[in-house]
Amino acid sequence: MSTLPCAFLDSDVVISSLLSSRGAARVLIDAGAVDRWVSSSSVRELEDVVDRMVIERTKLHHTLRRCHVASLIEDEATLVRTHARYVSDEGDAHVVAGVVEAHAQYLITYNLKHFYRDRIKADFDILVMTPALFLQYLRSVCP
Amino acid sequence: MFDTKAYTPEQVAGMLQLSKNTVYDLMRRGEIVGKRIGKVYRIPARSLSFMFTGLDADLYEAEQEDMKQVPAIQRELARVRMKKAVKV
Repeated sequence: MSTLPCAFLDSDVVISSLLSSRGAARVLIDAGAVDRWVSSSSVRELEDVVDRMVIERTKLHHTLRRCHVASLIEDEATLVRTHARYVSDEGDAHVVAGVVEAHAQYLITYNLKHFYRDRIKADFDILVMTPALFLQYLRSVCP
Repeated sequence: MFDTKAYTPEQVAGMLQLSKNTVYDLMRRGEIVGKRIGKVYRIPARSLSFMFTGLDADLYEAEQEDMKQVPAIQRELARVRMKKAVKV
């Protein structure tokens, strides 16, 4: 079993990594010592977002090859019902479901205000943070 | 933001609530990067990025780079998630 820090990437982080080669999201995708995760539900929404933003899907799939994919077998309605208490917007509930399914220790997102961080930490022991703060944290524990 | 200002070791000691000797020690160890100019030292604000932002200067700049695109990404993501919620 891997002992690398296990981080689930919200879709805004994955898309950021596609748009800038110098951004923190890209640095996180390229970082060696991290287990990166997305979910099957994230993959579907990522494909929709790249189409809407006119980003090549091949670029997305190339980046996703650096991530593990957690399979969410429940339907969207179930995901919302079971995880809505962790988010201010029900549309984000599947992200929390993905983090839990991936057994990740960190949820990396630029959308901090949509996640009830204290509740997520209390119930799942998962920390929610931005890519740069996560990278800073990695530096502090592995200088 | 970080390119124009520089501080004396005494000023930095005050900001970080450290003794002047500790600041000189941190510079010797490379934990704070300062520049000797003649007989005095100056510490660029960039070296103190962590104190102001919680991030090292390179990570702060990397985050700012992402932030240029994040509002547009989150708008599109919200639309996709809303569309999905309507289906549910």
